[in-house]
Amino acid sequence: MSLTPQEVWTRLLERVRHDLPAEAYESWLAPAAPVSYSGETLSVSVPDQFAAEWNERNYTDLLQGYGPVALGNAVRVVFQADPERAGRPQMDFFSPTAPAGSTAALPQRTSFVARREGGEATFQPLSPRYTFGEFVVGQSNELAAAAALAVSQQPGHAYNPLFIYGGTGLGKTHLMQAIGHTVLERLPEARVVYVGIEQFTNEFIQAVQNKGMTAFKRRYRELDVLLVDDVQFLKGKESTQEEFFHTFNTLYEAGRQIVLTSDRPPSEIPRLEARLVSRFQSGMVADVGQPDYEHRLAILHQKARRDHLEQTFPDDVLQLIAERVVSNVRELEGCIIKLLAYASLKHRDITVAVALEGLRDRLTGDSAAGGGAGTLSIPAVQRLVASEWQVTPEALMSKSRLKAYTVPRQVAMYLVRSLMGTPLMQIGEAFGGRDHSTVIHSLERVEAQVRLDSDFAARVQRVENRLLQQ
Amino acid sequence: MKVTISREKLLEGLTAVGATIPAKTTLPVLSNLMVETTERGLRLSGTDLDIAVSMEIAAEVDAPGAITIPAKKLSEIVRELPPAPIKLATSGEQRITLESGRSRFKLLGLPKDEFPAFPAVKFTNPWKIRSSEVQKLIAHASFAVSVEESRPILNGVLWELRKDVMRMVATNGHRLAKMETPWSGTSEATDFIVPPKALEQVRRLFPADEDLEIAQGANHLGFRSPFTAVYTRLIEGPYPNYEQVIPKDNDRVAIADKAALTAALRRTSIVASDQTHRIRLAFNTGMLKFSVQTADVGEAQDEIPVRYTGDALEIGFNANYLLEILRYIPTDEVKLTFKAPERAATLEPEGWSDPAKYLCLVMPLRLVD
Repeated sequence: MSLTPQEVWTRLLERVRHDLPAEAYESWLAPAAPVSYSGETLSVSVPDQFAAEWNERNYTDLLQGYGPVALGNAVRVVFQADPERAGRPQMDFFSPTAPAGSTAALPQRTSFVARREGGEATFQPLSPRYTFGEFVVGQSNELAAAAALAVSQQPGHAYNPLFIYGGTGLGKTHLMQAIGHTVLERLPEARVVYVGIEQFTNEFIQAVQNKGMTAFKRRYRELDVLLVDDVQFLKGKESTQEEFFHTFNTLYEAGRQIVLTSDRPPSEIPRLEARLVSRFQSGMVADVGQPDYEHRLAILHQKARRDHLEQTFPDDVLQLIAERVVSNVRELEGCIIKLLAYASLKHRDITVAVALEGLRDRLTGDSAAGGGAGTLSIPAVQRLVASEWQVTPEALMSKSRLKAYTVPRQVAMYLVRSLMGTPLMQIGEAFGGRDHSTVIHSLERVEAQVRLDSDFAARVQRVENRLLQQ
Repeated sequence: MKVTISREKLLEGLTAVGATIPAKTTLPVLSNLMVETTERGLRLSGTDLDIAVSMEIAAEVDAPGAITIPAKKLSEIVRELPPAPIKLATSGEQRITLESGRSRFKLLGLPKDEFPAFPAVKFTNPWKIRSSEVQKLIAHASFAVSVEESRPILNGVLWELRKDVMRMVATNGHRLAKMETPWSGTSEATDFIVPPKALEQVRRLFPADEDLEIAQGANHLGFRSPFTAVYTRLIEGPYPNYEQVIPKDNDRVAIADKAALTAALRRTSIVASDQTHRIRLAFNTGMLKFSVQTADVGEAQDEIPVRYTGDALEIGFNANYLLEILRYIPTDEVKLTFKAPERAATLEPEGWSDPAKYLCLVMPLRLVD
């Protein structure tokens, strides 16, 4: 599941803070920072061993108790003294003392800390799940995936910078971190840093306030690979943009790899300096789009395989989710979590019926599936479309492939899909038992036609408006 | 309200209370000073909601009353006035006039009801402590507190009251200061974790020869003497077990001249790293060698004679931590003990003829990254 450690921790804290006196919460839980989340274990770092032991004794049960409600699954919460602190040159009374020069003894798999002197904040660790192996490639993301793979093989040479953009939950961060993992696997000594633009901004402000610019510059300019998430948040932050520009140039000129993600292409980020826009566009700009049905199904299969849930989730349930949850990948994975929790709560096996019940709020096009709860229904669409094109509704369900029939038939399918989100298979059924691939073809035809022919588009729009007014 | 007061008395009160009044605040009344008449004169109070301070000063009261006045403006005015009696008089709930000789001011205040109430602390059965004793502990311990937000417990000074001793301990995890002094006044062991800012007020506001009354409320601690009172919020514990980190088996002992040690540390640390302030100490029989190497700055070497027993030792420290502790060591000679380069070192006064006991610890810096 793709919840970040921070998301998991925030969800648990939201519950717990109401159970604790404010002082206790502020003193013990607020300073803690989540480090990694494996799907069952959340590990949380605190400044010292003393705090780790106290939190474990007093708050783990409380936190873990909220796992099922806050996350939909059980969670184990482990507190640990910050290993980065233990590796600092200045030893601490209340942290385990690592023997001299033993930075290598720190857990390197999940956290990568650039070598440096003095006490600075850690970089965010790469999530162990975000590897190329875990990434499902489909039509909507193949360009971005191929570019990322190329970059990971030849950092600094293939495409520099690589700019990945797309909506939330579509795998931008995943691809970016996968680059980091692959580079580190091949070159364990490489200095790879993953940072959100927000952390960059905060550290920059702190550096300015504390006159720590030298350290800041060293921190961000002596790197091999810089992975920066969510650069759209640079908008309007003028001095941060200036600093980022210089960081970018230093790294770029030294032939270091830069990877950026954003929710939109560089040219559409508002209030971003032109020189940054042109730099961001100078390498490779690749987008990740919404996955299509087959891609969604592949993602769900992968997810089920990874979490050993093949037996628990029958194929038809995965198909149902893939058809009806169209927004993004995170949402798909959320459905699996939710359905697991729902089924275990009700002591029932996971079937299509249980899924329809448990995922009521997540599935689109529910009225059609639920037997016409609203006024919109497939027969209603068929009737209106038929009258607009002056054919009989039966003709839409017939086998006839006369153009006079195929056009309204395709339009009707298109409207059913876009207004009600009905699953493809169900649409096929309702239109004379057609295959779901036929339905896909129909939808594409209408979409293409709408773009090319404004009269046709207006006609479709007219029917749509009438349907919506009913 | 109508009172007459000497400029010196008023200034003294304003200086005492003013330190607690926040410079910036979201609650406007907090930048004001509460002024109210009492049987003995005038009471001035200020608070930042964490700490509250009040002081009574002698004044001639013609008509009782109370008001809050912008503290900064009032102190600025009083400071510029010649040494002559000042007349304060309110008109209505929010206005006050101030007259001295031919000078005349009108200030806009806020009604007294808007001023936050002081924390409820009952002094029914207080601890009684000589103010100089508390102040000595504060002066020697509270410098060592942590300022790191992520370690809120260490942001306070631990104050332990025991049957025959009281003790203050502070640490930031890297260095620790502990002082204890004989005291009898409680049958039950009691611990507080007190913000150092409040202790600083206790240290500066109470005359050394006064007896303090100290009492605990739900989440607050109050200190008072006949004329002055300080209240503070307490930090929720527990405090880490500091006894555990005090080394018991340090077998390498050095006795050094404090002034010579301080001077050598100050000199050599000039070329130390701005971040770690790392300095290397090498102890040999009779001699302590200092060396500093900083990649992009340079190097330094120095040495001073010391009395040293034990095997030779090389150990790294943050020079600032050592210098800071040396400032508080009350004797001319200082005793340092060590076990190994990765174990805590201790610093104590050598030849101190005081009933109090003082001990400081420092964690070393790694010599190799």
